Amino acid sequence: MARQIMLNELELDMLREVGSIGASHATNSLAELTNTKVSIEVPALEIKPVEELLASEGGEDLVAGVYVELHGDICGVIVLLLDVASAVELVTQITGMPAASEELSDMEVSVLQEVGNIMASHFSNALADFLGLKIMPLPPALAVDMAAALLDFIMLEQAQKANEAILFKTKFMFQPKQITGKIFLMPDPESLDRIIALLRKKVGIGA
Amino acid sequence: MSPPVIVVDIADVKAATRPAKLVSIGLGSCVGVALFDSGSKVGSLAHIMLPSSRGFDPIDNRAKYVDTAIPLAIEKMLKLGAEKSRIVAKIAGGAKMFSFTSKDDYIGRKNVLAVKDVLKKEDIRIVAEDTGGSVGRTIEFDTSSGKLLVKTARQGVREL
Repeated sequence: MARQIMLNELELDMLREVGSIGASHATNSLAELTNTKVSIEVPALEIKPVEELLASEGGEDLVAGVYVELHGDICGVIVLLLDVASAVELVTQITGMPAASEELSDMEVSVLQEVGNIMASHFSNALADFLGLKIMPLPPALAVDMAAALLDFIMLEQAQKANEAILFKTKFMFQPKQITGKIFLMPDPESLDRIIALLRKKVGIGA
Repeated sequence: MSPPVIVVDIADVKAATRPAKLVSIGLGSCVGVALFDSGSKVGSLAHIMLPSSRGFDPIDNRAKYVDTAIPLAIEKMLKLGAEKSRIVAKIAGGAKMFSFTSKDDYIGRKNVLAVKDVLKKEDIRIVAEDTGGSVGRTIEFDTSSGKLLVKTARQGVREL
């Protein structure tokens, strides 16, 4: 359980590539959905003790988080995080209806869940295709609360299994409006081993 | 003059003897354990991540697990002059932030149960608690009064 994640540069590069494929498919699906240009920052890959990931990604700001569990050959989670203003703006962009208030209505919640669902499905399908695996996303769940609280719930499930966790993090922005969000992928430790073994095979290093 | 604010990060334990505000931000599944000895006015706050250190060997950080963080908090308080028999506890956190999961063994709940178990073994009484639910909590522990403020994003502030 107290394992450490030890990867060499080549493995890290391959993992970054995988994360980047997934994230660009996810953000492309968002661009199609909203009919806008969505730009992304270079995806980051972080391997750290869970408490350090939480300390840097947390905070007290109110955010909307969509949480999708992955099952099948790869287990883990995909999380979409938007600050509340961006979440409201995103819903407006999709539905064409201006938001009635700062609080999210039931309709707005289901629109955001669907956005999370679509993005997570594109993300996991891209991974599944690239790696030749079956990955099934579960139905999405949404919560609006402090970023630190949402993320500690999500990441502690991972912390139970290992001291360190791996986080693929991609920031995205909508061009005309000031919408910013983040999409995270956290495979669980056994799944990370499987991904690395497959990647090694792909480049012919052998497991 | 208002007392100094000391931030207690995730997987950390801080104790104070002079008037201070010990603050932990955004507890979700994590649990905050505030211990107080009103006689010596020594207080501590632990921001704990996981219910048990079992299986994590060597233990990377005692403040991370319920079974090691609470004894650590007590040690720190005794060093500052607290009397073990006078220490009482207030606890907050241990939420289930996403309410979709029907399973009852979510970490927040396991954390709270583990805290109660360890405090019982240490013979420390819980005098107030605000745990569970599906809400994030920021907590502020005032070591001059022993009061614990629990702030939420949309359900206001509660004083324990």
